[in-house]
Amino acid sequence: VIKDKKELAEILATVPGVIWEVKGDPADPQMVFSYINKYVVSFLGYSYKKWQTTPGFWLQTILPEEQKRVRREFHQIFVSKKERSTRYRLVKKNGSSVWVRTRLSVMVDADGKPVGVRGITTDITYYMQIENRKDEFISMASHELKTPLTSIKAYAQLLKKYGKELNDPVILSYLERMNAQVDRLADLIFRMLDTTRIHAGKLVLHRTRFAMDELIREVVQDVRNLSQQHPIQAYSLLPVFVTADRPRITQVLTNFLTNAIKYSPVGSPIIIRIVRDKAQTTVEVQDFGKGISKENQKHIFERFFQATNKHPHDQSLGLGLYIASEIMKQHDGQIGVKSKKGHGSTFSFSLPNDEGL
Amino acid sequence: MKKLILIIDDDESIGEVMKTILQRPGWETVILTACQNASEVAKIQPDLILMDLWMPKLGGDKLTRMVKKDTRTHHIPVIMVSAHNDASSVAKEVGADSFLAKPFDIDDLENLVTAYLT
Repeated sequence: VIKDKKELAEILATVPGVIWEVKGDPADPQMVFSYINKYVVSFLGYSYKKWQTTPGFWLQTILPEEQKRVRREFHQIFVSKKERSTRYRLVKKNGSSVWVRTRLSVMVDADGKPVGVRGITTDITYYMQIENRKDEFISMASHELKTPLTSIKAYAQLLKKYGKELNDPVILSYLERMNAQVDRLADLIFRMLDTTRIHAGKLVLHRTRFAMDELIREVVQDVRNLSQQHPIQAYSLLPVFVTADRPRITQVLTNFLTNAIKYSPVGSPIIIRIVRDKAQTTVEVQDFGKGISKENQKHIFERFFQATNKHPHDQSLGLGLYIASEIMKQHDGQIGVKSKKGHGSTFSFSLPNDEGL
Repeated sequence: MKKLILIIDDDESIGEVMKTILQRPGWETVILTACQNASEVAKIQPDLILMDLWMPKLGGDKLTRMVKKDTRTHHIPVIMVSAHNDASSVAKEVGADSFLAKPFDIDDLENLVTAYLT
């Protein structure tokens, strides 16, 4: 039992985390803390008064290149009213930077309107260093794995192209299978590396303006070449232009389509639609497979997530949808899923429309 | 006269397999597992260079810059070949003429080389 205010203040001054409260939107550039515990002084070095009185002081302590993102995320959390966390770097008074994780809960008024946030900010520098080392290792390992893979693939193709005695259909089919498996291995390595890059914040977009309907037709054709087990129907493919990273959007749509094929019964249709409203262009991929439970829908875009009821022979790493969602995040777009167990799923991604269109 | 392709890759097995692929259509190849400067390239006078990016002593990015700056070698087309995901933008940045990702299709390699040598 806490005996008095003095004891509570003592606890709050030494607990290894910054506990704070803000009235209003925390992303407001003039934001001032309505409460912040004294631990912040020993943690970051700035005077206690600055935190309490200087408008926007908190924003100034965030690493400049991360300010925009953090403000956007804080604002989104405030509006969504959901308890969520975010990671970023703060600059200490002595100039060194420190990785922190802030978890926020949103206060609401009687009408359910958000009126402020309460947060706890903790040091995760050590954890981030370990994460970085792991990412560097994966990045190195995938590069090293690709070198022997390059030789294997090339020799398999050489055999197929030049081997005189390869008229034997059995040999040819073995070689084809070998090639397919090499491609699969290459794809796994590529995705592993991709995840690492996304995680390290190194995913750079190269935006161009292109016709979404054309991209859809191309992807559908590529997927049809791989599998003819599902009729793929594309609807309302009127010419629609967007500005985005075309290869990355291709990657997202390919991921949706290959998932739809993988998780729905042979012969069942897959439907693709473009829906355009004033603000954004949405592409939907609908399948008639087994669907995804409400619980799994919540986590399906997380790194390394795998549905608990997955097929035992499914050897995917659970990275595809994570990468897709990170790609859409980078585009300021959205990704989503609607599904009911036993009734199939509809995955969608949206891109903001070009201005003035 | 047969066209000469210089392959620079620190991994011998890659050099060997590229040589095997490129000799079939009748090109000559020279393999270097390391190259320090444009002078070495100038001595060989190849018609085309296939350049790895990640190499322990001198990276393919720096070497491409040197080759493209030196008057004895700047006319030689450079195709950067790499297993590194960011390599296509690096290739562009340092002035390489083209880029090929590892692992590659042997037909892609052949077609790309053909495009620069005819």
